[in-house]
Amino acid sequence: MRALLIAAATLSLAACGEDEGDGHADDGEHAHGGEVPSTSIEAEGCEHLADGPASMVTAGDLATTTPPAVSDDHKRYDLTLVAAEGGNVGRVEFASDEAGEHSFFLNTQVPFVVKSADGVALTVDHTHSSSTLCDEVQLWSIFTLGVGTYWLEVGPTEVTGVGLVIEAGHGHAE
Amino acid sequence: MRRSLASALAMVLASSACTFDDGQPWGEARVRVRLGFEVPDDRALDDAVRTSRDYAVRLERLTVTLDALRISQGSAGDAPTAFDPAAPPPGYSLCHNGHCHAADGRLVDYADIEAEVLGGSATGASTERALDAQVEVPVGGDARGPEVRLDLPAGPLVSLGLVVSSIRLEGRVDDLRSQRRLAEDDQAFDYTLPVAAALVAPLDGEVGRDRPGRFTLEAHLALPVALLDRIDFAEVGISPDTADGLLSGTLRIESSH
Repeated sequence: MRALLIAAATLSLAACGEDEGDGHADDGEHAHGGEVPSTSIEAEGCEHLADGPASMVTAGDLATTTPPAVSDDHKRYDLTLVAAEGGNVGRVEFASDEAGEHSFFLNTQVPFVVKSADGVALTVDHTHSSSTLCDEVQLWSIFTLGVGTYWLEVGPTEVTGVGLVIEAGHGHAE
Repeated sequence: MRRSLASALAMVLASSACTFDDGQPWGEARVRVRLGFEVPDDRALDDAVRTSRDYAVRLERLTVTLDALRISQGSAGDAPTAFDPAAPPPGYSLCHNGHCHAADGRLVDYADIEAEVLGGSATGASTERALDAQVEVPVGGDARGPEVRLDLPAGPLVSLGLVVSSIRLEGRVDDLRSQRRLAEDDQAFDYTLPVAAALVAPLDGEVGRDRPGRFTLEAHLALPVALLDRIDFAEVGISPDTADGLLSGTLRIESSH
């Protein structure tokens, strides 16, 4: 008996088109489920901050316990912040479906905090204020998350909006 | 005398012809279906599964209803349909680095999209067998599903599709947050998620005049633990979009002949 094939496929239920591909190929390779190899995390952050696809989200204030959701689904979330004492702020919710490092790319240098959904602030693993690959990344913060829901808080700041891309993984040569 | 002999011979031939089978099909596939539900370490609690919505779920029963199984074939001599990353099929975009972005956020390899394109554009026969089977899948383990045999006409094999109609989840749930969202601790639940979708995996091989194929296939459907993330147990019922894109599990085919 001879093994002929071991193949895997995932189902696509989606049915809407956005930008088409550029047809280029390089040495990057993605795994299913959204995590990308560490070497291309930074490139993914640059790509999606620059080219989207983008979703508009009006963030909640820092008192809400039911903020709007964002995801690590390879989109740029354009967060509209809300006015508060000391500047503009915003809180959104991120559900981490896998434990490990997560990269948060922002296109503006603003105060950025990650908390558990019980309001406990996490310690940032490390932060970069730029990328060697693009100009769009103005803040790149890496946090180690477990499986669960987290609040992402921006501000206070003078800007009224900020672009956010989330990628599972890290991928920066330290 | 000669006429009676001829008549007798004709009668014998006619009667014996009635006992002949119609004949063997060009090919045959025997398919065993297996289903699994693994819990990764980062989600495992003592006796429960952690979800990304901060719930601890104790699944007491997970039942998958399988509707049908189908094998799609191309026509003999068909050239493979090329997948072009610069013009991806509907539902995909930003194709690069060997993957495309699906509209629901998944990253899908070129090979898997190509299999899907090939399956959708198969020009030959589609052989379907109704399953109508309910399979109880143990948490952290595998379950044996139905085994079926399909007669295959001539042509290259393109894809195997497994149609799932629903997934029923029964168990109890606790809130992991300090601000409790559930009406009670250890709350019972019983949800049936209407999936009504097919998982498709590529096949290799060909059935033809010179290649009478007898294939033994094992279709293993790995249900994603993330399906529990889609449920907010504090909500009453399930929102209509909960099942959208739910069946993102992996269908792996092992084939031999």
